[in-house]
Amino acid sequence: MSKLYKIAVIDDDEVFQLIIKKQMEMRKFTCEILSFSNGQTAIEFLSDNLSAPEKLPQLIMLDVNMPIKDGWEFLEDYKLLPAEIKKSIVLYMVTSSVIQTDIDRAAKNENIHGFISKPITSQNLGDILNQLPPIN
Amino acid sequence: MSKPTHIQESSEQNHPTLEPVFRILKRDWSVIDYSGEENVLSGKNSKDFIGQPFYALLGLNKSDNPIKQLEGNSAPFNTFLLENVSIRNQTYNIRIINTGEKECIAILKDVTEQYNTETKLKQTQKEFAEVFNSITDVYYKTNSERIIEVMSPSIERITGKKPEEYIGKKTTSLIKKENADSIYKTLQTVSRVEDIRLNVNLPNGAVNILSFSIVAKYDDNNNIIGTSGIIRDITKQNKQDQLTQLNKEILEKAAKGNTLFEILNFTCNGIESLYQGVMCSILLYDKANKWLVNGASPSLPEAYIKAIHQYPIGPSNGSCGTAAFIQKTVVVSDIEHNPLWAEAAHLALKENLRACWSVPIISSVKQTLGTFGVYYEKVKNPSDSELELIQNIGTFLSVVLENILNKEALIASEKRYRELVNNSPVAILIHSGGQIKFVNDEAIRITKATNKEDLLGKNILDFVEPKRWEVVKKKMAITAKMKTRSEEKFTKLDGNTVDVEVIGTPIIYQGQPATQLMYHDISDRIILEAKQNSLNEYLIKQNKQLEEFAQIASHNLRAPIANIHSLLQLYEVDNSAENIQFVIEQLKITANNLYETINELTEVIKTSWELNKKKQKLSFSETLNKVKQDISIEIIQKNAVINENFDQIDALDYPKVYLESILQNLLSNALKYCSPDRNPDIKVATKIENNNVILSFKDNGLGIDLKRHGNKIFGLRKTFHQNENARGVGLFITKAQIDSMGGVITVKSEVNMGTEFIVNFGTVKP
Repeated sequence: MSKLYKIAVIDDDEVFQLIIKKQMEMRKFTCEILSFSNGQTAIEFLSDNLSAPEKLPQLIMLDVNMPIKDGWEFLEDYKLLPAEIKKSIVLYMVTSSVIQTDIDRAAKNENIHGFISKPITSQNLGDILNQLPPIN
Repeated sequence: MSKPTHIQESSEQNHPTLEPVFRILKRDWSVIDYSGEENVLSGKNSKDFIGQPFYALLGLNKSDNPIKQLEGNSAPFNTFLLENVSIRNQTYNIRIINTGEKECIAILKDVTEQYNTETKLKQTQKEFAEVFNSITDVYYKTNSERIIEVMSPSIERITGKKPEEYIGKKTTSLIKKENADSIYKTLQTVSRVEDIRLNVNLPNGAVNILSFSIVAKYDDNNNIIGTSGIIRDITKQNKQDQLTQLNKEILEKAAKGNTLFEILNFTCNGIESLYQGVMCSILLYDKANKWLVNGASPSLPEAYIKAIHQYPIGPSNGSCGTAAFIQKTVVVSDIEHNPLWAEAAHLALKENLRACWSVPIISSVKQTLGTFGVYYEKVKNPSDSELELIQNIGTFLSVVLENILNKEALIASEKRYRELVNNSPVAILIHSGGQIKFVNDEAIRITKATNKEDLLGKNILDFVEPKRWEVVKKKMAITAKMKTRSEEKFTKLDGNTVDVEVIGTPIIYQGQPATQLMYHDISDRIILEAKQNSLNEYLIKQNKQLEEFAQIASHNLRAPIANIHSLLQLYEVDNSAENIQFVIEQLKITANNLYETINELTEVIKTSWELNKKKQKLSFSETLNKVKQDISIEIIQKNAVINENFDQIDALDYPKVYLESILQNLLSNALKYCSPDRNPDIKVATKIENNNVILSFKDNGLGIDLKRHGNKIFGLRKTFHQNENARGVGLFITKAQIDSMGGVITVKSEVNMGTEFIVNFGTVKP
């Protein structure tokens, strides 16, 4: 079985989750979407699968405002993950926030590859996917 | 070039000393070498002389250079002597020796003592001559008929008449009949009278005072058979005595603090009483206007005084105006014909003033203070003694005037200063080593003392709280050395404290090192600052809430709109029936979310920034009952027990909507985050603490990890539990409402044990 890209969408907005899935389908990008409704469930998933790298996503799309554990709290925990795990993950902040402090804060965080304001366009999505490393 | 040798004149002095020898360069008269003692010429170090012009050492200008004549004179050993050169209270004989074309030598010999002795001797000789010349004792004898038989020739020196003109005549030829009779009557009972002073009209018109000492001779029946007497003219001596007396009295008046004008008038009157026909006038110099004003002219006609009041000084402005200007005595014996009076003569002549002699009154620093003038109604030249007298009076007045003026200036300035200090709106206190030495009215007022005795002598630390002593002592040590500025709390006499700003300055007070403290009450400022700070804090809070709200609003509204955007894009790319259905379904959900979000935001706006904050009398129990009814279904579903205790305080003055909203949010929170393992047990209680109304709302629910979420618990849209109903709005609103009324909400919690919210409603009166 050929391997699929895994993409983690961490966002409490169910509609957004579905939209991403639909966008992938429409651009015929075959991948597995891992949906998490907040930072807590996402970091738990990552931590639980450190020894099973084949289960980990190559791309994370992270929202900022979420209940229980928001994007920033998730990043604090994410920072503690082993470097070789993080090395193979591209992390984008995708949020409806247009607050400058959030944008600045994201720019300073070395684990964030980019910051995208919603709505995410087809062009944006293409750019992100092009950054993904090939999977063997 | 060899050094000049020291010249020793041991023959004249007991101790040989090194006389100061200067080698002088003629080109600029500078001293190029010096030998001799170190402390000559006011103790200057000899090194100071080198390079200085010699004439400057003598205190002279270049133009007065006394050895100028040696310029160009190359004849060696050409010497000359400068005698009695006075240099700084010492007198020197200076021997100058020409040593060639370029240089000369000056040898100083201190002759101060010798010079002083000579001067004294000359003075004594002069005085002796005066005394000798003034001996005018006359010897005379009368017989039983009171006829003069003998009269010594010296009578001529008194009366101007020869003895022959008296011999053979009765004594009444010399003195008035009533005086002669009175003396004769006395001699009938006592044989000797001494120093009887009589004013005698002399043939020349003058009135002299003659002193008579007479001895009588009697026959066996005690009848006077003759007298012999000595006559002495004591006119001059008497004047001297009277002047001395006047002098003393003027000084006494000055010392007693009589006003300047009293003293000047007294002086004029005194002199006028001693010298007939004289009219004195003391004018004072007004430096600012360069004119003279009347000081005292008791006998001059009023019209004339008016005319010369504010008379300008100048080189030909009458006697006084000129004397003040040139600072020299001006004698005008005939006003009518003197050019100095060319302009003012008519003023004087109108009042029959014909002569005026004036001396300037000059201060010790050569400033003109005024003039002392004497007027006569006849043309008159002063005698030497008269001139000397008015000059002496001028000098005397300069001393008196200077003292009074200085004293008056001092008193005026002292008075000004005292008024300034006493009326200062700033408190002024002087202490020496902590002991209070001086306080002004404001210091008394601030300290709530009744008078200065309440404060004087006390220690400054008595007015500072003991816990501040160490700090204040340190401050005092610094202030003893330099000016400081700080804020301090002073304890007033009534026990209350006052906040002051203090400026401390080290000063000398009554000869002792002391500290002057100037301070003012800044309580108002501090209260104002505190008010402003709390207002600022409140505004910052409010601002933060608004900012947070704006962010959330923007985020929460943007999210569904972004979704709508994306969905429409999906529809454009693929309008297959299947996709359209997907898009429409998602649009419905999004529309719902948007609707909910807008409702929430409206709720937040309505409750957090409610403009109608009108307080009303509320009851905790009643309000809670209403809230319980509103959510009774939840309470029953969760099987919750609610304990209430409003025994201590049930009433609260508060906006009704707020209290309802607060209680509802806290109660529904407690129910929402209850533990699945146990029934909710909620305790609601109120109490009064430090005059504040406190509400405690305690549950046994899930609890919150405060270490993790403590700073966000009251933030908008923050939820911490995997609970589908969590919206993160309630606590944000609750806090906003409490804050806006000046209260505080805090939280205590332990995960899985429960949470307690404590609301301090502030100093709300129940």
